[in-house]
Amino acid sequence: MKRSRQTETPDVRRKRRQRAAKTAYKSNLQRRLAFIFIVVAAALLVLSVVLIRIVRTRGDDYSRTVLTQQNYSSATIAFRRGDITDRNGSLLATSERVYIMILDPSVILSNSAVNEAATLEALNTVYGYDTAELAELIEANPESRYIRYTRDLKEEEKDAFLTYQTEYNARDSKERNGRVSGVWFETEYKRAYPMNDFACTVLGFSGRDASRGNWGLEEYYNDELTGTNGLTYGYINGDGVAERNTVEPVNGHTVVSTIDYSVQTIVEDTIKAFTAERECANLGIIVMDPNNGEILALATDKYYDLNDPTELSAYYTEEEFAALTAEEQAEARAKIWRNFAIADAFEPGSTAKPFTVAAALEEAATDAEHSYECTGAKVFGTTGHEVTVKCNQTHGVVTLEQSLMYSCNSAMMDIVENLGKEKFVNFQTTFGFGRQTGVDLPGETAGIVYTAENMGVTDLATNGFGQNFNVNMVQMAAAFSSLINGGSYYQPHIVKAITNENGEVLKEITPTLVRRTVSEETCNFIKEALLATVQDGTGAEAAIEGYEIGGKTGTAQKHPRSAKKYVTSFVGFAPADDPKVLVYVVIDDLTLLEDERISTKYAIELERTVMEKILPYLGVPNANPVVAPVLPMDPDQPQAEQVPDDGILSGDDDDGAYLTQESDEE
Amino acid sequence: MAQQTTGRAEYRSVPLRTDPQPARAGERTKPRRYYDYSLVFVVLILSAFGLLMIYSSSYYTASINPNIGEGAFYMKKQLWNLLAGLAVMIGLSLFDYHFWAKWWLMFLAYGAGLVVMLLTNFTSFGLEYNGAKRWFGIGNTSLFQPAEPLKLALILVFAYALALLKNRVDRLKYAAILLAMAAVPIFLVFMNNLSSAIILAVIVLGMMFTASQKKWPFAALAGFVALVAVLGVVFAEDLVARGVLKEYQVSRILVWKNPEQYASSGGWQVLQGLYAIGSGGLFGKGLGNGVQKLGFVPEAQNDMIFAIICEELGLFGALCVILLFVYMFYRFMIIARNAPDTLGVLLVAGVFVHIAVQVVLNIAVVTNFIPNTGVTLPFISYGGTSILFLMAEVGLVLSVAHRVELRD
Repeated sequence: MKRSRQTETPDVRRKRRQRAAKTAYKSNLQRRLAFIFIVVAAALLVLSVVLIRIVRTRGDDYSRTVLTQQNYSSATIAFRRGDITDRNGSLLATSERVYIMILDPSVILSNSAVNEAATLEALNTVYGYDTAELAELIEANPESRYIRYTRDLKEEEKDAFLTYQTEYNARDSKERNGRVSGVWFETEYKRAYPMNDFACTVLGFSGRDASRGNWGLEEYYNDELTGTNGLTYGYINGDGVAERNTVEPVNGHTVVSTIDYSVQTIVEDTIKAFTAERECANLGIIVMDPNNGEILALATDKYYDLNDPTELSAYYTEEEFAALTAEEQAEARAKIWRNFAIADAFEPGSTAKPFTVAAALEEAATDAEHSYECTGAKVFGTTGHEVTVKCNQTHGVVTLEQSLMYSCNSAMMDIVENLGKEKFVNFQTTFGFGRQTGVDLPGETAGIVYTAENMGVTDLATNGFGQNFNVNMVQMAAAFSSLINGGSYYQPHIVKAITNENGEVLKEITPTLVRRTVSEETCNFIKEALLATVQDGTGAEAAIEGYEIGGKTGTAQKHPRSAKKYVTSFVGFAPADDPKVLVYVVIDDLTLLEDERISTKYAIELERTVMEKILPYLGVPNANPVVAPVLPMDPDQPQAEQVPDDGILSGDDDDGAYLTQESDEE
Repeated sequence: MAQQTTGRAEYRSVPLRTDPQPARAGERTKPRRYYDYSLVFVVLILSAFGLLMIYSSSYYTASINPNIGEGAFYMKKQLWNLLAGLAVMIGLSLFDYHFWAKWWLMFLAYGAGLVVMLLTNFTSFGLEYNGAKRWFGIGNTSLFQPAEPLKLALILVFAYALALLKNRVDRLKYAAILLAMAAVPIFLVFMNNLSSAIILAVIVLGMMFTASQKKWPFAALAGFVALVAVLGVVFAEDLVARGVLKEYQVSRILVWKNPEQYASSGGWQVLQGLYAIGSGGLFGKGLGNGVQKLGFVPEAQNDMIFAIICEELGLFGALCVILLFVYMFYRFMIIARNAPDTLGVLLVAGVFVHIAVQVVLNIAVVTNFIPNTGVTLPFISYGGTSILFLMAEVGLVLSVAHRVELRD
C-alpha cells in the first residue's frame, strides 16, 4: 500500500508540478505583455504631453513663423508689355514670350545623384551646354533650389528639352540612367522690334524692365504700354486657414501709331540714300497730313537697332567708344537716341516767310496788290550805330506774291515794319512758335522767340524772314499745315488709338483743333504764291510732273554767324489747291564739297524724292498720267536760274553774313 | 485539444453560447471560432485615415513634380498596396497559424531574410537612395525594402523558437544562440538603416522579455542603453572626432539638441515639423488646409505625416490617432491573453512590439523628443512594403484570435 502510494505520488506530483509550472509560465507571459503595454501607453502619454506642450508654449511663435515662411512662396507673374503698330496694324514693337531655365541642384542631386548624369546629358544634347561646367555649378550649390541658368529661350527650345525629358524618362529603366529632373522653365517677356532700326526715333526702346520705356513712344506712352504684374501668393484667412490666391497679370495696351509703314519706309530709304553720299550734322523729314495733324512719317539720319540700342558701331568703332569716359559715352548714346525733329530748335529761315505774309494779310498790313522795292539791303539804327541787313540779292520791285516766290528779305522787313512787333509776336504765338506743340513724343523743345518787350528793330526785321528765332520741326510742320488747310491749327500727333491686347479700341485719338490761325482767303493766297514758287520761283526743282506742288525753301545761317554753318530746308505740299500731304525736310549743317556753295537743292531733292513716291501711294491723282515731256526751265526767266534758291548768300561774295554791325567795329 | 484552451472564456463582450447541436460520435465538431472585428475596424480606420492624410499631404508636391504631375499619385499607389495588404491580412487570418510553425519553414524565412539582406548590401540588387542602400530591386526598379519582411521573419522565427524553448530561454546557452541569431540580420540592416536595426532589436528583445522569467538582464540592458544614450548625447562631438559614429548619425544628435541652429540644413525637417505642430493649435487648420506640406516639410506623406495631422487636425486629431493606436494595442493584449498557446501569445507579442515601437519612435521624432531617424507611422505613412507586411502581421494576430474557441 505504502509502496504503491509512494510510486503513484511522484507521478501525480510531477504532473501537478508541470501543470503548475505551465500555468505559472503562461501567467508570466501575460504579466510581461501587460508590462509592455503599460510601458508603451506611458511612452505615448509622455509624447502626448510633449505635443500639448509644443502647442501651448510655442504655438503662437510657430504660427507666426509659418506665416512668414508663406510670404516667400509668393511669386510674381510677368505682364506683357503692349505692342506698337503702324496705322495699318503692322507690328513695330512687340513682346515675345521667352523662357528662363531654372536649375534646381537639390533635386538634380537627390536620390544619391543618380539623376545628375542623365540631366546633364540632356542639357548637353539639347543645348550643347558644357557638362563639366554645369556639374561644377550644380555641385557648388547643392542646397540651392533656384539657379537662373539661361534666359530668352524660345518656345521651341523649351519644348525641345521637355520632349527629350519626357521621352527619356519614359524609357525602360534598363535603357536609361536615372531620370532627367530638376530643370524648370519660367515665363518671361522680351521686347522685340521686328524691323530693327525701323522708325527708331519714333519708337524708342524698352529693355529688360518691361515697365520702363526709353525715348519715343515707348517712353511717352509708357503708362499705356505697361501692365500690372500678377501675383500668386499664400495667405491665412480670418479662420486661420491657409489659402492660395493668384491675381492674373494685366497686360499692357497696344499703341496704334499714325505712322504709315510705307511712307516711313520711303522717307527712311531716301534719308539713307542721301547720307550714304553726303555728311551733315542732322537731317530730319516729317510727313504730315495737314488736315488733321497726323504724322505719317518722321525720321532723322540717326538710326540704331532697337533690339540692341547700345550697339553704336555705325557711329563709333569699338576702340573709339571705349576711349570715351562714361559721361561721354552716355552723351554719345543720347546724341544718337534723341529725336532731332522735336528735341532740337533751329532758325527756320525763309520757310517762315509765308507766316510773315499771312500775318500781315490778316492784320491788313499788306495786301496782294502791294509792291515792295528791294535795294539789296536795309539799314536800321541811328547814325553811328547802323546795322545793315542784306537781302540775298537785289530784287527790284516785287509784288507780295513775288516776295515769296523769290524769297525777298527786304520785302519781309518792310512788311513786319508795317505790321509792328506786337502783332508779329501775337501771330508767332498763334502759329505755336515758342511753345511746345504737345506732340505725343517726349523731349520736345519749345524753341526760342522774342517777346514784344525784348524785341528790337533789327530783331523784328530778321524775324520777318525767319532768322533770330528758333523752332522745332514739328512746330513748323503743324503751323505750316494751318496755313494751307484753311486756317485750322491741329495739334500734331503720332498716335491714332489705344487698344487692348485683343484690338478693341479703348481710346481713339481724334484730331484736336487747337485754334484758327488765318482766314480762308489768306490761306488761298499763300497756297497760290507757294504754287508759283515751285512753278516759277526758288522752289522750281521741287516740281513733279502731273502734280501741283506748293513749297517754300529755307536757308538759315547758324550761330555763330562766322562759322558759316547753315540749316537748309524745304517744305512742300500737294496738291497745291487742296493739300493732302505735307513734307518738311531739314538738313542741318551739310558738309560742303570743294567749290560748293550753300544751296537748298538737296533739301528740295529729298522732298521731291519722297513726294514723288508717296503721292501715288496716298492716291493723289496725277493730272498727266501719260508720261509728258518735262517742261524745261524757261531760259528767259533769269531769276529762276540766278536764284536757284533763296540762300542769302546767293550772288554774294561777302563773308556770308546777312548782318553787318559796322558801327561796333569803328 | 484540452491543452489548447485555458478554459477561461475572456470574451465577455461576446455572448457565450453552446453549440446548437451536441457533438455526435464519429463526426468532427466544427468549433465556433472568434474573429476580432474590433481589431479589423481599428486597422481599417487607421489605414483609411492614412490614405486621406497621404492625399492631403502629398497632393501639392506630387502635382508640381514634373516626373509625377498627378496630385493623387501617392494616394493611388498606397490604395493598391493597401487593398493587396487587406487581402493578405484576411487570407492569413483565416489560416491556422500553426501551419507556419515548422522548423524548415522557419529556416526558409530566416535564410531568405538573410540572403535578401546580403544581396541588398553587397550586390547591385541593392538600390541607393539618399546615400543609403535600403531598397532591393532589379536594375533601376525598386521592389521592396528588405527590412520590412525581415521584421515579419524575425517575429515568426522568434515566436517559434521561444515557444519551443519555453522557460529554457533563461538558460545562458539558449539565450546566447537566440541573440546570435538575431544579431546577424540586425547588423546587416544596421549597415544602411539605423532606425530599422533599432526596431528589429527592440522586437527581438521585447519578445525575449515576454518569454523570459528573469528581470535583471533586461533591467541591466535598459540601464546600459540609457547610459550609452546619455553619454552619446553628452559626448557627441567627441565621438565624431574619434570616428566611433558616422558623422551623419552624430550630426542628428547635434541637430536634435538645437534644431534652430541647423535650420537650413539638418534641422530643417524637424523644425518645419514642429512649426506644423505648433501652428495647428487645438483643432488644426482643417483637413487639407495645412501649408507646411507645400514644400516646407520634406517627406510630408512619409515620416513626417504625423506633423501634418497635427497641423490640419490639431492636438485633438493627433490625440485621437494616438488613442486609436492604444486601443489597437489593447486588442493585441486581449488576444494574447486568450491565445490558445505560447506560440500564439508570442506571435501577438512580436507584432505588438513592432507596431508599438514604430508608433512611439515616429511620434518621438516628429516632436523632436529623440534625434531624427526615419521611422514611418504604421498604417498611416506612405510606403508599399510597410503596409503590405503590417497587414500580414495583423493577419497573423487575427489568425491567433481566430483559433480561440468560443465555449461555455
